[in-house]
Amino acid sequence: MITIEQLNFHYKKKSPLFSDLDLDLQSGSICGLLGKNGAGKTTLLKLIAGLSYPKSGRLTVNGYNPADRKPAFLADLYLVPEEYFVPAMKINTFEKVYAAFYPKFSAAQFDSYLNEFEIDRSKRMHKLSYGQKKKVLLSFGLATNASLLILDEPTNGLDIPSKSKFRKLIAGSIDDNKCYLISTHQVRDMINLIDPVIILEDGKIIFNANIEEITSKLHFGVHFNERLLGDALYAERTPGGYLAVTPNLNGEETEVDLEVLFNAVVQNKARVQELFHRTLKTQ
Amino acid sequence: MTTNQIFSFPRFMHLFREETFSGHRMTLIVASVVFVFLVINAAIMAEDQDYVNFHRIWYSIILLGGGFYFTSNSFNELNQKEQRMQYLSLPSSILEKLTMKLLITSLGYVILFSALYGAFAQVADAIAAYFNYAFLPFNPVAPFYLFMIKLYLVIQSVFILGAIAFNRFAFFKTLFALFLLALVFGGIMWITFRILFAEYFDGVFTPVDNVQVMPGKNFQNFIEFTAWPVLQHIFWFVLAPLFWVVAYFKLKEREV
Repeated sequence: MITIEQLNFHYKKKSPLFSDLDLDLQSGSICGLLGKNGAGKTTLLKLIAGLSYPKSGRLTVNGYNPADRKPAFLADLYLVPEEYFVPAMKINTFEKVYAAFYPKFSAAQFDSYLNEFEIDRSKRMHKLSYGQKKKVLLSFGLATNASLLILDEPTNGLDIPSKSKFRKLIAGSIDDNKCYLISTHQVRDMINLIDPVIILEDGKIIFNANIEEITSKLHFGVHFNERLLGDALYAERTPGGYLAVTPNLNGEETEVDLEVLFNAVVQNKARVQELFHRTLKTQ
Repeated sequence: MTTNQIFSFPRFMHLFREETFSGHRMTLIVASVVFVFLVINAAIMAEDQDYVNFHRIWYSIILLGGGFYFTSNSFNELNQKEQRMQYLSLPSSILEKLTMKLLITSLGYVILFSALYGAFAQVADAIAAYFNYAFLPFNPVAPFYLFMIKLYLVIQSVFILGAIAFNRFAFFKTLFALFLLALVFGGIMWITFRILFAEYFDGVFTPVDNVQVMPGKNFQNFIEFTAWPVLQHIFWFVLAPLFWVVAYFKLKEREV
């Protein structure tokens, strides 16, 4: 669905953000894009959405060059940015005006998502709180049934119950023809949701693996004895012991802790990459 | 069925609806203030009884000044990052987006403004009658008014480009750009003149004493029958389309 080859991008000539970036994302997945501040996550999303133009390289989404901003491409993509603009109109009017641009938009779905988030559709968009506005945009984005839904920090501003509702809606609406690309720092909100996990650092993809691959290669668990942490890729002290990620030597499947995984990849990049690279080679 | 990716009428109508529902509160406020100002002004001028061309003057001032200002604000969506993101990702082609803004700020503005001014003219004429005075009647299809409309439609193309090219205060930035352009163009003309007629100058700017540079008959004919008509044609028929094309490419290259 999304193919990126040898992509180069910079804001200032002397400090390139992406150099020869490669990425391939398939439909039917909820891709999690993780990275520190300034890693280039939002820029990558903007490039994919056609809002910024690559300096060189190839980028296609559903066979379209995003930079052309063709209506057919834009009608099959919906972007919910971290900071967004909402027009001064009622939700009902918003639906009437903007749904027409999205051929696969479902009014019934929009209604059901708004109900799920407990949003009164007769309210004026610009009078809603930050979180409520986000819920409306998320509901609208999901209801467009666009084959690519891009969400930048979607859970920022959502209250605790809404975060689980968000997870439920996302998981319930994905199908083989869609791809959801989620950029976030709130990794705990994405537990059991994102697959594959992509980690971006300094404009480079330093990790790209699906959950099955991660669970087969890595072991996440609590260790009570510090001496047993010798082989750990990353460990952090918790009240009950040490939460650690280690190479999965005995094939035991554990639940992926995204935060620990992220820290392991960032702090022990070479070892993690070697582990995944070696495993890929032997497969 | 594949839809046209350059221009589709149904999509254009969706865009029209989007434009209609987008907030125009500020435009309405400004229009109301102008209306009140004009009514007061009409009363003062009618009382003074020496302002027969009231409608010609005020129609022209507001058509041009107000129209250029309105046009400069037509791409306000591009000023703010979040709004720009929303506008640029709206599923509509660049041509549709530009055509929509162009229609609203050119024909749309002229028709609506002329209609509103027509309504105001009735009020102004009634006020004048109260003071036993009469302004020359307002007739938007009279040659003078049609000339002003033509003039507006051509110059407006510069301001639509300015609206796309400049972030915030596009009106003033466009005026400043035009001023700079005129300065540069004037400078080049002056230097060319100075080089071509170097022998008639004593020093950089002082002409040689007792020399009067008069154009020859051929030159006068060239100016009158060739250069001037060509320049007029360029102004009336080439300038606006040229700026529209540049505006199209400028809009295409806008990023977030």
